[in-house]
Amino acid sequence: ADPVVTLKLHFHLPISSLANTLFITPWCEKIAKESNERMKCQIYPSMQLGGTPAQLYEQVRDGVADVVWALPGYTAGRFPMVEAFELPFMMQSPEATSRALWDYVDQFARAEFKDVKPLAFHVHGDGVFHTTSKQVRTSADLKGMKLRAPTRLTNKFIAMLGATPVSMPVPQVGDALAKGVIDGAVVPYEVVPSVKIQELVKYHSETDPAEPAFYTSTFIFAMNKAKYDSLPADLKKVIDHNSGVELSGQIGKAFLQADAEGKKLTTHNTTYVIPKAELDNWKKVAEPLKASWVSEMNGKGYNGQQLLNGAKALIAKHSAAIK
Amino acid sequence: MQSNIEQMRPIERWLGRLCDISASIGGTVLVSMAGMTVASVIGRTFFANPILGDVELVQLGSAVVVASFLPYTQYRRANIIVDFFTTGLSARKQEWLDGLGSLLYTLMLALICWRVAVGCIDIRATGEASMLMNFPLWIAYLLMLPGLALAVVIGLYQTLCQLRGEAGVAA
Amino acid sequence: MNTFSIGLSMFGGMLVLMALRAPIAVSMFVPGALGYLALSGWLPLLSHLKGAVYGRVSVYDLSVIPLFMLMGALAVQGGLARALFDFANALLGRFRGGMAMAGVLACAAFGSISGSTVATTATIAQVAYPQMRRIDYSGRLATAALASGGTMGVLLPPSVTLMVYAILTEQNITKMFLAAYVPALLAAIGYMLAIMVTVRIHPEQAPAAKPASLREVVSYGKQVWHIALIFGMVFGGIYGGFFTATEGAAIGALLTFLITLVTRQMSRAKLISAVRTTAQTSGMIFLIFLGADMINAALALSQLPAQLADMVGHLQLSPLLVMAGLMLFYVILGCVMDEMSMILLTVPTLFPVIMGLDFFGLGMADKSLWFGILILTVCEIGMIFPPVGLNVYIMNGLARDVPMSETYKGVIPFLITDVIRLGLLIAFPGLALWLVHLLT
Ligand code: NA
Ligand code: NA
Repeated sequence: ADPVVTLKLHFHLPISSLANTLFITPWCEKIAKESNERMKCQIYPSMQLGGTPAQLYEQVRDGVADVVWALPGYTAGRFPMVEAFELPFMMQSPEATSRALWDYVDQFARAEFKDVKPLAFHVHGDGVFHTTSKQVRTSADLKGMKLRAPTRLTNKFIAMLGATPVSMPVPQVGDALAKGVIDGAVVPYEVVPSVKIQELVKYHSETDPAEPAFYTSTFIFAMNKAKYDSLPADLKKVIDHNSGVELSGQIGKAFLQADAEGKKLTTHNTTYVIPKAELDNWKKVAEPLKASWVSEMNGKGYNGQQLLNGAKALIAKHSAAIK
Repeated sequence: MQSNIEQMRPIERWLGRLCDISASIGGTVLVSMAGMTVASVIGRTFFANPILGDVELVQLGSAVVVASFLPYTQYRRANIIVDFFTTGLSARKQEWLDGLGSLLYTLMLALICWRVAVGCIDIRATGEASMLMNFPLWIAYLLMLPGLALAVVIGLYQTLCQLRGEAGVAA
Repeated sequence: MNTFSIGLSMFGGMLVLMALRAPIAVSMFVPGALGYLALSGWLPLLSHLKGAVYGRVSVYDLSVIPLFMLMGALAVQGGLARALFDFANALLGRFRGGMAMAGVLACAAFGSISGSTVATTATIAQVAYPQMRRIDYSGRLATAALASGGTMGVLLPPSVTLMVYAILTEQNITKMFLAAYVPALLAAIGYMLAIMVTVRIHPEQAPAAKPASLREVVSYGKQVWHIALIFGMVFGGIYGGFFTATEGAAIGALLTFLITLVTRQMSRAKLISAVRTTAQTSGMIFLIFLGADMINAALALSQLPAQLADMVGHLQLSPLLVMAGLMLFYVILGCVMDEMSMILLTVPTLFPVIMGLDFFGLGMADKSLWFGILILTVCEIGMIFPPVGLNVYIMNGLARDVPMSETYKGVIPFLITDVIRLGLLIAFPGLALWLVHLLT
């Protein structure tokens, strides 16, 4: 019989995270089953193989790991084109937006990921404010608040709204909240259990669900190119069958489910929904950020407006298809 | 730094000076980091206006500080060893073992120095920068290289001295 | 060779290199790199190193190490550390061993917020060790008290390590903290007893009790109020969440420097000397981190902990025997790892094994809390357990006038109280759990 292929799968969240239980482990089980157990994952959660969350992409490109789940936004400047999806108020449904992201990369940003074999691109659900001492109702409440934010653009946007952004990867958020290093974090509900945010904060502020999310982050699930090329044809087929726009959409959907699971844990805290009227003010604040992103991209030799329009159109298209 | 500084070979004095300079550069960066951090805390506390990106500056600075400190540590032979099992050996044999230890140290640091250099080129090509200040990361990698390279030189010199049974630097 | 034997060979190779006087960091790095090579190949190894080195030396939380080193070295060079300790000694010198006890408690307080045993010991020792030596503490007791003291903070809330355990095992953080208070108190009592017994049996290890008059205390106090204020502010500020440990260290370093300038106790030569000390000790600590990182990554790759957990699961041993085996395993891991690495690497695989066993009919939630306390206790024991414990090297590296064997001899009484405490915690899970049940 052929030898069993083991894929070293590396990521930053703990093994108990919803991302692992709802998406990574099921994916592994699926490829094991479809390959008749000839291909399986060896999961290394919590950055067990060393390095930082920002280095995961490098690790899969260079073969330190065979498969990683990584956030392009953790490495600012590295993936400028996918940043379009991290601009404020872009996303409504994670499932549709994840599909749109896959198509967007396919159409515009393939060059950014040419060194790896992308298996899926996706986004997480609506960003939520989780704060320790004060409920966020309006941007005035953000004044002087130290907030953890994930990506370059979210950091900028939060600063424009008046808060002090502190950037750090998700695994450090719990520690920083417990010690009062930050007054809150902006993350989706899905992350809540993996850092126990519900036990560390008192307030959650969502944005009006009928409105686009005030931010989301992009993710890539990718395989080392050489590893993929080394697979026999039938195993390649298993990977092909478990990657692409469909998988991207499924992960987006899983993250919506993860948000619901995460939110269940926060019932003993106070939750507020920031209404459309307030968000309209925020959108005005976001306009210059979008404009500066476009001109930044133009400066780098891309057509910024075309990228932004492309992203919007794809999100609209897939959102319509899902409804 | 030593009482017998006059008896030291010129090359030893020279290497010692370089390690001192490297440590001083690291110290200067460290103090600048401290100053910047304090300025940010004052800005945040009294004017609700911190330095955006103070955390990432500390991260970049730390890398340079540590790399600049490494050669001085090895020069002073301050990297800890376990002497418990070899106390019975003659001084010459101990020095010979120390020579092997220094050789492995040299190889470790050479490997690290080489890989950080490659990482520097790599990360320059990918254009990664810090989150808030947009500071190019490859510069931090680059600034680590002099310290790492000097550590390799110190390790190599100590290896040669110890294997030949000559009193090495900063004994 | 299968992955299991590669994992074991790495451990063996490390011990041999250490015994042959190779620097500790190198003794970890070389077998780690070779193991990685055997498990994954050249390209992954070279790629791993390309990013991992920067990843380790650019950690925000670890920048407290050089900053606190600098603060301590400036305080020492400017005579402030001496004055502070004269004051503390005037207060505590009436008990033989009083300063050692103060050092242990300072370690505990700092350890609970710094999140790293190694950083704690290095920081407190920088200031405390030379002063303890100056007032005639033996190298043995001084190094042992500080190396052991560094391990205490991990049980004291808001310890990061406790939080990480709670997250990995899906426990409530508040309950986890509550479960840790009594064991932390027991640890403190144990270490105080260890010091008292040591100085009773070996009075020469600590200076004779020297009761100071109130007038003396006040007069020393006048000399040190500013530096005491700085230390209080820095540690209070960090503890109270007003600023991060790094920010506190930066404030402390700059204020200390300013005071030495104002009191005209700083000179160019002293400043250079402070920077050299900072460089030497920070370089030593970070090189060990780099070595430990290499072997930790290789150990993770070898799946040694998971395979051991698997073996244990299949052996159908009695629960207490499994527990004993686990404890031994952590003592061995403590040769190369800090507590955070041990927890991240082992808990995901070992936790299910333990949850599958019956201990005194404890429920799942209680069992997880109890096991968390046990596992953290043993991690810390591993870090000071002979013949190699990460924290003992670090302490001994700061005390260059003391042979390693002396430090280990000094650590033994502390270890004895650790083992007794561990025994109590195993035999009486209620010690950890009653506060949880009382308050929730
Ligand atoms: Na040990
Ligand atoms: Na020593």
